[in-house]
Amino acid sequence: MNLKAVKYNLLPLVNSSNVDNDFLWFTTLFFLGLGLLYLVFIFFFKNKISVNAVEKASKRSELAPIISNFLFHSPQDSKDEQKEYVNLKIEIREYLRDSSFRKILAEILFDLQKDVSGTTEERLFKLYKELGLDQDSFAKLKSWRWELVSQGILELTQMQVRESYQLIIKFINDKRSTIRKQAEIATIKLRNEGIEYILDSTSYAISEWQQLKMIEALGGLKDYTPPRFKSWLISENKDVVLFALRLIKHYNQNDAAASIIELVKHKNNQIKLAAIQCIKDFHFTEAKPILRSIFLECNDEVKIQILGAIAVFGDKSDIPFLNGVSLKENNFLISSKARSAINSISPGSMLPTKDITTVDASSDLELELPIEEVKPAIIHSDENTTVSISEDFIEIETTDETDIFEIDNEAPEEVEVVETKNEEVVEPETELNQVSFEFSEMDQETDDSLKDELGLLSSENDNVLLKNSNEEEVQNEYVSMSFEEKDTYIDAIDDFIDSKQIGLLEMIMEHEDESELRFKAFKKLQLLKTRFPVKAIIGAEKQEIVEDEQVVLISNEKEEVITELQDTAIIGKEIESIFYPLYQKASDLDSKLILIQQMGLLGDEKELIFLNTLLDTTEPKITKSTEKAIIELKSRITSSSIEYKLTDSDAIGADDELILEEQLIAQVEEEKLIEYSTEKEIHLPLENNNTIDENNKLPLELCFLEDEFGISASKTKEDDDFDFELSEEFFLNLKSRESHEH
Amino acid sequence: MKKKQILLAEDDDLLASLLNYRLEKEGYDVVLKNDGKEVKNWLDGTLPDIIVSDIMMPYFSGIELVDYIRNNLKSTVPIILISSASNEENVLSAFKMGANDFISKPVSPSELLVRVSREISRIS
Repeated sequence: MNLKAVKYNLLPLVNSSNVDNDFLWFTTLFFLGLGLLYLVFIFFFKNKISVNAVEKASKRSELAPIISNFLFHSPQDSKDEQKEYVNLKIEIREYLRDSSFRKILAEILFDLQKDVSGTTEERLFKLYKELGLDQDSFAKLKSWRWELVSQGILELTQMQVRESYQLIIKFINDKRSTIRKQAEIATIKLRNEGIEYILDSTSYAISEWQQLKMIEALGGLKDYTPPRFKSWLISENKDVVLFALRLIKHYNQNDAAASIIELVKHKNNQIKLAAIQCIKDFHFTEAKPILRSIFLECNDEVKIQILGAIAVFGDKSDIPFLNGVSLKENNFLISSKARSAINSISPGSMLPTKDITTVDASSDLELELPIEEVKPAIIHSDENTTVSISEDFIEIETTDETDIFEIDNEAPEEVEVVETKNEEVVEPETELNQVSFEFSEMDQETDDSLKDELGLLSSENDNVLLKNSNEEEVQNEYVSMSFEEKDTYIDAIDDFIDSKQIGLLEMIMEHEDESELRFKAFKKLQLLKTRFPVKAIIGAEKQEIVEDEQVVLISNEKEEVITELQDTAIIGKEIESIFYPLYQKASDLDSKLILIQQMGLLGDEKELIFLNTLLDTTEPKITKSTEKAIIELKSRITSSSIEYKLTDSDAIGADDELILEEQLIAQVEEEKLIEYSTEKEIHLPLENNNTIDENNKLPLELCFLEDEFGISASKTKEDDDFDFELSEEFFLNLKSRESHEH
Repeated sequence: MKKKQILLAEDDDLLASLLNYRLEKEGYDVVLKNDGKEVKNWLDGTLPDIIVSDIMMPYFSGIELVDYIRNNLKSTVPIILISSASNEENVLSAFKMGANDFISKPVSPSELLVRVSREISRIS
């Protein structure tokens, strides 16, 4: 109840006040009237505009033939035409008293000027002046309204009223930018020397857009010879200097080198940038010292510009500076620009380093070159002597030699003699040890004879030189040598394998200026790497083996050499197993055990060697599993070799076969790990062939040397193209088929 | 001697009038048309000795006109095109369609006369 009472009490408060009805009607009518008036105004003005447009169009269509008549009138026209021309002249002068008519006529002429060219255009300019329409434009110049002044300048420029030049140039330093800009363009268009006046007198800034418009205007001038714009490089107005630089570049005025180079030191960065751009475009190489000297004081933008310029006309003398910038500069853009500049000057000298996985080159080589394959190469210091091992090997090594030296071409007879000797001395079925011993002696002889023929240093001298020096001494000694001595020295390295020599060869490849020596060093290094197990050179333990081998070679203790080589052949053999990397990656015991089991089931000699290395592990489960796998693997290898040998002995009698089988089983059980490795030597030459061919390929950066020395690719045998091998079983089956057929 | 008839197709009245005056003064019978539709309608009835046409016209462009004359009317009447847009694409497409000549704005009436008389002498 109380609430209702409250509500009712509030009602009088919202009651509307009394409105005077007369006032309400008055306001309504007033606003209606205003709206109506507005509509009338719109209608009126729209009508007026359209009527004007129609009138204008009709006047234009009336005037167009008159103007055409004026434009194309000639004194040679017929009498009727002459009469018509005079009448029209009188008529138009009457019309000209009317300002609206003058306006329309001027408009027509301006429109026509845009559409016509040649003599008609020139007549149009003349007509404009004859009709006195230029006076209207002059009058506009006196106006206080900037848009009228600007329009006046435009009309006078468009109609090429050259008399207006003196009036217009006064507006060049007008405080109103629109008038100033219009005046600048007009000054250029009206007289050829207008640009000079602008550059001399302008005290205001010239925007880049305006500069471009002025250059465009200059391009439209007839018979224009640009002045030497270097004169304005000393202007106090920085925009004039910038414009002058732009004009110098536009008109290729490269006679201003000194001034432009000097501008690089300007305090204003815009001028600096423009000057550097000019230097870059004109290849002012003499600016390099200044560019380098100011580099540190400049801001990042200028630094990048400087580096860009050096990239364009720099040479190798700039690389240390660029290297310094790339290393010291914190700004990534600048250091990156420096690196790209280095690459521009010396392509390929800066290689990508980010997100590039490191690849151990030595392990790569090791996989390519099984250690056993290297063995004969170590024993035989001269390529020719390797003739004895197999025919394939001869081919490889002789190809090798022709690639390295051109000696063979010069003294082919000697080589032939040597090869013949080798063939006579060494029987194909001789044991490896014996062969090695005999060939080493032959090598020495052939080497000496060849070197005597070619006037090279004796091997004894080389020996002393190479043996009695450490790496640094050898390198220093090498540096002090003459070209011929260096050449002889690199040749001598062939016979004395030493890790120091590999270091020296690498040093020669990196720092030697003579490309011929670099090439020789590269080939020699390649040869040494193929002959010598790289792993042995790199690893500490293996380095000892290398040194030992070297000692053995020098002292001619042939038996020890063979033992060492056999050891070397086993070292690292386990990594040839495809299970090796998997085993290394296996993190838990179970995976390792599975891998060992699989090796027993699937493996061959390589896995056997690997399994043997696993016997030394402390984990009893692994040892046990390994033992099992070895037994399984051995039995599998034995059975397969028996099968092979039985197939091979098809021609033998049945009794003989049984005896042979028993002998083989016994033999295989007694076999040691080394025997597995030595058995593989049957395939050595072929495999070696491929590997050596791959290694003999020049790296891409040295490919130019092939052309330089006139070396063409050695002819490869058709057989080399095969990328697969046929199993011995295949050949045996083939033989047995043939025998059956017969 | 019968006057050579020229069809002048130009939407700009001033320029059309100027060229008309110049060509008539030179002794040609000029038929002036202001847009493409007019031109097309007129061409359905008769064919002039030579056509001078602007490329940019209302309703029917100069290039379309060339295509219509060459492919629909199967006529070899000489066609000279005028265009303010002297870009390479326009010129190439015009010539591809079968235009005989091309002149860019601003037009020199004297030059146009030379071109017209050359084309007429070629057909005669």
